[in-house]
Formats: sequence, C-alpha cells, structure tokens
Amino acid sequence: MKRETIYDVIVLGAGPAGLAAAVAATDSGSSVLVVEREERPGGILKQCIHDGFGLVRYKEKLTGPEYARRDIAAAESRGLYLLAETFVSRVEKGQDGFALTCVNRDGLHDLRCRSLVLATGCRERTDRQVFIHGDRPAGVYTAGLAQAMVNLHGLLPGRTAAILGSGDIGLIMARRLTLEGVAVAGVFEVKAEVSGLTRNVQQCVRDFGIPLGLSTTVSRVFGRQRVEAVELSRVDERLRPLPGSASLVDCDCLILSVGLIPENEIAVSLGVPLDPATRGPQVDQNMHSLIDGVFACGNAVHVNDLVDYVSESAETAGRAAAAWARGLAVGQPTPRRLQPVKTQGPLLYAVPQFVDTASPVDTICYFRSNRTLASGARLAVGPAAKFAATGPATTAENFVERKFEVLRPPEMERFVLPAARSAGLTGALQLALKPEGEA
Amino acid sequence: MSPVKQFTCIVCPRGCLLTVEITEPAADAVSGAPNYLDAVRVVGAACGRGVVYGRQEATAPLRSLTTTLRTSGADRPRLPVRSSADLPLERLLDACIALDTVVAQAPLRCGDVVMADLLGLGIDMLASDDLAVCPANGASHG
Ligand SMILES: Cc1cc2nc3c(=O)[nH]c(=O)nc-3n(C[C@H](O)[C@H](O)[C@H](O)COP(=O)(O)OP(=O)(O)OC[C@H]3O[C@@H](n4cnc5c(N)ncnc54)[C@H](O)[C@@H]3O)c2cc1C
Ligand code: SF4
Repeated sequence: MKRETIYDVIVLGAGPAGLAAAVAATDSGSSVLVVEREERPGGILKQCIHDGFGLVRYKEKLTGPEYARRDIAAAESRGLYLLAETFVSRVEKGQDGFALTCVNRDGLHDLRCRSLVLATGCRERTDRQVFIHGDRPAGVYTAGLAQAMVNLHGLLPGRTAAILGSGDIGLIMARRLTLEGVAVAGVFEVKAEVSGLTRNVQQCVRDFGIPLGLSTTVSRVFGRQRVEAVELSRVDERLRPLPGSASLVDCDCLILSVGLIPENEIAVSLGVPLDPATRGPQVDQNMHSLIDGVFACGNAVHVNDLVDYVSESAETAGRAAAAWARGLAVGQPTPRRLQPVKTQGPLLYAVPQFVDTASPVDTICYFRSNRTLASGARLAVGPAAKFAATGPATTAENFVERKFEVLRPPEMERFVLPAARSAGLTGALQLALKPEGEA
Repeated sequence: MSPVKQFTCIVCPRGCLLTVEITEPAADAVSGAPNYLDAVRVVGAACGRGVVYGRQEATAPLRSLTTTLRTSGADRPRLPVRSSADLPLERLLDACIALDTVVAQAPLRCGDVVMADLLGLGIDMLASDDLAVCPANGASHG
C-alpha cells in the first residue's frame, strides 16, 4: 500500500487569516499545506483596494492588496506550499488526524493532516433580499459582488445605483461607484443607526454629498428585464414600513450591503459546535474548536472589522495547531481543561467562548457591545462564581478591569487576560459590561 | 461669532467627533504677524493626529485616492493603485477622469510609479500590487 504524506497542519483558505496561520505554524516547525479555491492568494483583500488596513499590525495605512502582499511575501520566503484553484469538498476525522477530499482541474485528491485550520472567511448575507417585493429583474447585486466586479474586472454594475444597508462594504462602494462616474442615489438603512464605521460615513458618503436615509428601507423593486426604480419606505421603531411614506427613486441597480456571516460548511460537517451569536465555531484562546485538532481563525470565527486582528488570531491558531500536531505525532496530545466564558450586560458576543486553563497561552479576548454606549462602560472579568446576578460583586478578585470611553457595535474591542490569572479558574469566567450612568 | 465646524476624524477607526473653532487670529507676541495656527482650536480628539487632521479639515480637506487602472499584457484586467500623498478632496473626481485613459503596462512591482504628477499636484499614482505578465494578453484589456 502506498504511504501518503501526512502534513502536520493543513490550512483551508489563503486569505490573510490562512496565510498568517500557515506562516506561524511553519515557524513553529510544522510541515504545512495551504489549500485555496481561488487562483491567487489574498482572499477578500484582493478586491478591497481602499486604504486603512494595517494601522495596528504595521503602523502604516495600507490598501488591501498591499496588506495581502506582505503576507504572501512572508509565505513565499518560507517556501510555503500553496495548492491553488483547489476546493476542499469533504473532511473526515480519524484516529490520528483528518482525511481531506479536494477537487481541482486534475481531479480528486486525498490529503491527510494532524491539525486542521479553518480560515475560510465569511460570506455575504442575502436573506434580506427575500423580503423585498416586486419583480426580480437583473441589476440587484450584493456589495461584495459589486466590489469584485468594479475592482477586479473593471465592470460597472449600472449608471445609477441605490444602496440598501449601511455596512462598511456598502459605504465603501458608495464612494467607489461615485469615483467611477456612477450616480449614487442614496444609501438607505432600515435601522435608526448606521451599521458601518463613522469614518466611512464621513469619507465615503458625506464627502460626496450622497443622501443617507436612516429608518428607511427598499420596499419594492420595479423593472421587467433590468431594475428601473426602487420604492423606499420609512419604517417605525419595529422596522415595519409606515403606510403612506413610500417614494420612488430611479436607478438601474440595487446594491445590498446587509451583513456578513462566517463561512462554516466544513466546520458544520465535522460537527464543530458554533456560537449562535457569532455564527462561527466556539473556540478557546488558542483558536482551538471544541473538536480536538480543528482550529479556526479570522472571519470564519467572527466577522472582524480590522484585518489586523484577523492576522493576530491566525498567528495564535497557527502556533497552537503546530503544537497540537507535535503532540499527536508522538502520541501525546496535551489534554485541555476548558472553562466556559459567560457574558453579562449589553454584550453582542465575546471570543473566545472558552478558556483552556491548562494552556500557558494568554487569552486575547475580542468583544462587541450590542448597542451604542455613548457615555462609555466598565468591563470586569473574573470567576463567574464571584459575580452577583446584577454585576461584579467584588473588585479585588477580578482578573481584568477596563473602562471604555464609548462602545459601538461596529467597533470591536479587545483586552488580554494573562494565563497566570486564568490558570486557577475552577468554574466559568465571566465578562460583565456595565454602561456608565445606568443603574 | 467664530465659526464652529464639527466632523468625524477619519485618521483611525475610532472616529472621534471633532469640534473645530476658528477664531480671529491674534498677533504673535514676537513677530506681530497673525497667528493662524492657534486661531484654529480642535476639541474632542483623543490623540494628536486628530488635532492635526482637524486643523487641515477645517481649512482645506485632503483625501487619499485609491482606484484601479486598465492593464496591458498582464495576467488580469485591472491594477489597484494609490496616491503617494493626500490630494484636495474637491480634485478626487477630476483625478479619476484623468486616470481613466491611463493603461498600466505589465510587469510592475508594488510601489512603482504608474502616473507621475497627477493633475500637476506633485502627487504620483503608485501600483498597490505586483502585476505579472501574461503573454496571451498583448492587447489592452477593455
Ligand atoms: C465582500 C467583502 C468585503 C470586505 N471589505 C472589507 C474592508 O473593506 N475592510 C476590512 O477591514 N474588512 C473587509 N472585509 C472583511 C475581510 O474579510 C477581513 O478583513 C479579512 O479579509 C478576513 O480574512 P480571512 O482570511 O478570514 O477571510 P478571506 O479574506 O475571506 O479569505 C478566505 C479564503 O478562503 C478561501 N476558501 C473559502 N472556502 C474554501 C474551501 N472550501 N476550500 C478552499 N478555499 C476556501 C476563499 O477563497 C478565500 O481566499 C470584507 C469582507 C467581504 C466578504
Ligand atoms: S483623534 Fe486620534 S484616536 Fe480619535 S479618530 Fe482621530 S486619530 Fe483616531
């Protein structure tokens, strides 16, 4: 029988997360293979031609392709093996690792590895489309698809565009289309608040005098072959269209920017438990999922607003995947001691969802508030047993205490919990967020 | 009354709300010349970069420009490019029109100048990615 190569680590996806994980695993002494379905590495950054990437990691304002280039250069200098234009269709867990089935131009391939890193990024939500009544003409695109058309292929989606949803990609596309000579009739958001970053409202919308309609939605699309107009409606507090508030806007394309969700088909097929709040795998501070040997990082875990933190989580995953593979190779994988992370107060989510108290690795915790806390908030982190139902009972036993000037859902926050502090945990860890000036 | 302007700092993702107050410049104690710098007061910036940005924004807003160019002889149809420095906000659209006819000839390296002295502003457009040659694509991509 032919002996197949067993890689220590196989990384799925060659976006910034996959590349950083692969580089970190290689530097930890592992044999690594990266599998990518597209022709070129770089992931979604290839189409994000605007700048603002890398401020944290490189202290420089880079464009998406420039940021990706640095990761690609780091991978190339280590002679990292990238299997491009290859789609991973199936993964099975065995005794000593994983068996992968991949498809590419040359046919089907079987690959084996000890640790698996899921760095498959996120995809755009399209479910909101379903709620729009009217015709189904051509000219309705998701913001990411429109971004790929314009930036990678040089094609314009239309002459006059309406944008539904105020996520960052939608805001960025409002500017991009304006610069390409497309008239942007407006950016419309069903909620009373913009969902993208404030700076993008300024530099992508206000800078060009583009109308921004809050508490407004597209209630109908008109057009037989191609979009000819959309009907806008104001909505009430419960987001239902207000009768008599409808108005028509002429446009030949409608761009939907209604949010992103982690891409996790493979995680689900392996039975990896997901967090309903992030819609990505639940992980510990090593980005290790609840299935031994399966790691995840980047947007596959939760949708990040800064690629810098995608890279950070990926380096953690890469190092940990290498350590796990080393343990398996000698038949002694390090057992984990997982304690859950509980949240209290106006938190949308916190990653990681578990802390491995047996691991010497510090916990980098990322979280978002579930609403705008304009007067700031205090965060207390400590053993859940010490917390009262209403909030932190004592302060002396808290591991971390932080004060935030302002918290907004689009802006992810981060803190570090040293391993020395969490090592003694015998029960759940609690994250309690208390808004300032609220009882 | 002195004019007050409010805007969001776009230097970093934190997006501080800046309030900029422009007062009548006082005469400098030493030279006697009007002191314009102190006449612009910036409130609300969490860091020094915001103060610099606020002063600039209140007087002459500047923006970076990122866009793509048509390519020739390359392995793909568009090349992402960026400006070497920020340009006046009101010139962004003119700049894009001027760049419409520029073709990036492969091969290029990230950082190469693809158009010098954009609109006579003394600012260059730089490739923000490598561009590899594809022999099959001799003609320019449309
Ligand atoms: C349309 C869009 C636009 C965005 N714009 C911005 C922006 O402007 N600014 C910003 O900060 N962030 C933006 N983001 C977020 C951005 O995705 C992250 O900052 C970062 O790129 C995430 O990195 P990643 O490596 O986790 O995912 P990605 O960059 O998405 O990389 C995932 C990679 O995995 C590959 N892959 C997926 N499934 C498989 C499979 N089964 N087999 C093989 N390969 C697979 C994909 O082809 C892709 O290359 C955007 C996201 C999207 C979807
Ligand atoms: S003032 Fe400083 S911290 Fe605030 S947005 Fe500007 S650069 Fe960021």
